[in-house]
Amino acid sequence: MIEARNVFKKFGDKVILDGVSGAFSPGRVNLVIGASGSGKTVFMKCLVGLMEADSGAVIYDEQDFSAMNHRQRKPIQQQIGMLFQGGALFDSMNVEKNVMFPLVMFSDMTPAERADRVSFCLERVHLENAGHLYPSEISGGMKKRVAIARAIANNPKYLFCDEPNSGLDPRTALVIDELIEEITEEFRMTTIVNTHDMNTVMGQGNRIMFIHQGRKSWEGSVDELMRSDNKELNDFVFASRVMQGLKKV
Amino acid sequence: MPAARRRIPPPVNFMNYLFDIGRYWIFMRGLFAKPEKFRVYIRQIFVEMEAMGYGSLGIVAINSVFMGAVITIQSAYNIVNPMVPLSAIGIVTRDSIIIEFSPTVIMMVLAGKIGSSIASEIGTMRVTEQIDALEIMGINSASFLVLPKIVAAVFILPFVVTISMFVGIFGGWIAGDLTGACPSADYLKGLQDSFLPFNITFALIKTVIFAFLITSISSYQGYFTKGGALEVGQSSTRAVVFSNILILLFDYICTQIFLA
Repeated sequence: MIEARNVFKKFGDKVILDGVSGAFSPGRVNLVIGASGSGKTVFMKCLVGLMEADSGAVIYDEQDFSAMNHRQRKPIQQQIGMLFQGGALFDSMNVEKNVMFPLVMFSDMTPAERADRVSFCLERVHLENAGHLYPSEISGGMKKRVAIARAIANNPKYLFCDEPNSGLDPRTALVIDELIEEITEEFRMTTIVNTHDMNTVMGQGNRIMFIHQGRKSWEGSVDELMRSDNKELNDFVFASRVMQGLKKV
Repeated sequence: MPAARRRIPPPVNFMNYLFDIGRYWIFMRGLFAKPEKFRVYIRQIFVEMEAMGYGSLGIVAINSVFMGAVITIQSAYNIVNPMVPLSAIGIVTRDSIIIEFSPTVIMMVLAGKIGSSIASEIGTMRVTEQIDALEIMGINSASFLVLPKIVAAVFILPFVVTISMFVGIFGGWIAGDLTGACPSADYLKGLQDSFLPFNITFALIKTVIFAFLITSISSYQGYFTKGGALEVGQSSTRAVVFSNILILLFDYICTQIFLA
C-alpha cells in the first residue's frame, strides 16, 4: 500500500501540488487522472522519489519514504518498477539486455537464471522474438511492452506508469492497459497509472483520483464517476461528444 | 510558413558560473560512492576504453602525422643561420611534439571528439528519462554513467598520446626527408640529442589531468541538460568549449609548476 499525505510542491512561486493525499491499494490499478499540466507527473515523481515534496509524506507499507535518505530508500526503490511516457529504454542495449539490466544490477541470479527470467518477462509481454532488437528498431507499442517487461523483471511490489498510452493507437493502447491490469493482479502489485486516456479510465477505473490544478478534486470508482456532479471532473471526463453520449446513456 | 527562429542563449552571468562550479563539485563528490555492482563498472570501463582509445586512433594519427610534418618544415624554414646544425630540426620537432602538441593539441582535438560524444550521450539519456529510470531502480546514475568514463579516459588517453608522439615524430621525419628540409641522418641525430626523459613524464601528467577535465566537464554538461534536442546540442557545444578553455588554463598552470 502506498499513501500520500498532504503532498505539497511548488516551483518558484507556482504551486504545482497543493496538499494532495490519497491511498493506493495493492492488487489493483489505481488511476490518477487530470488534464495536462494538472500536476499528475509531478505527483508521481514525488511518490517515487525523483522529486522531493516541499512538505507532506509518502508512505510505502508504513515506512516513511519521504523521511529517508538516498541509502535508506534503496531497498524500497529496488521494489519499484516504472513505465515512463517514452519507455526510457537504454539505447545502447538491445531488448534482452534492457530487461536483464535490473537483474544484473540487483539480483544474485546465475546467468542461466537471468536468461530464463528475461525469457519469461518477454513472453509475458508477447515479445519473445524481439530480444535481439535495439530500441531504435522497434515500434512505440513494443517499446512500452519492453519497458513493462523491464519494470517487472525484478518482481516489484510497486508499479508506476506515467501516461502508458500516450502516442499509441487505440488498439495497442488497449493491449498495454490489459497487460498492466493482468500483471498487477497476477503479482499483486500496487499499481499507479497516470493517464488522461478515457478508454483506460472506463476500462480500468475501479479506483480513480482526479487532480485539478494541483489539488485532489475527486476520488471514486468509474460507476461513481458516471454519477458525479463534480463540475471540474465532468468538464474533463465528458469533454468529448462520445463521452457526453455515454453519460446520457 | 514562418522561418524557424533560433533560440538566443541567455547572457553570460557571473553568478551562473559560480553556481556551475558549486554544482560541479557536488556532482564530482557524488561520483565516488560505492558502486552497486563492481563487476558491471569494470566491464563498462573496458567498453569505454575501447571507444575512447581504439575509437580515437584514426583522428589522432592523422592530426599527429600532419602536426609533425608542419613543425619540421616550419622549423627548417625558420633556421636561416648556417651555424645552426640541421639536427636542431629533429630536436625542435621532438620536444614540441612531446611537451606541447601531443598532450595539449591532441587532447583539445579529443575534447571535441570524446567530450561532445559524452555530453550528447548523457544529455540524451537525461531528456529521454533514461537517467530517471536508473534513479528509480536505486542506482547512483551519476556514478554509474560517469565514473567508468573518467577512469577509462585517465587510463587509456596517456597511451593514445604516447602513440601520437611516435606518429608525430615519424610524420616530421617523412616530411623532412621527402621535402629535403631535413635529411634523415640529421633528423635522427637530432631526435637523440639532449633528450630529457622528464618531458615524457610531464606530458603524461598533463594528459591525465586533461583526460579528467574532458570527461568530467562533458559528463557534467550532459547530466544537467534540460529540454530536448536543441539543449542536448548546446550542452555538447558547452562541453567542448569549457574543456578546451580549461585545458589551456591547466596547461599554463602545469607548465608553471613543472617547467618554470
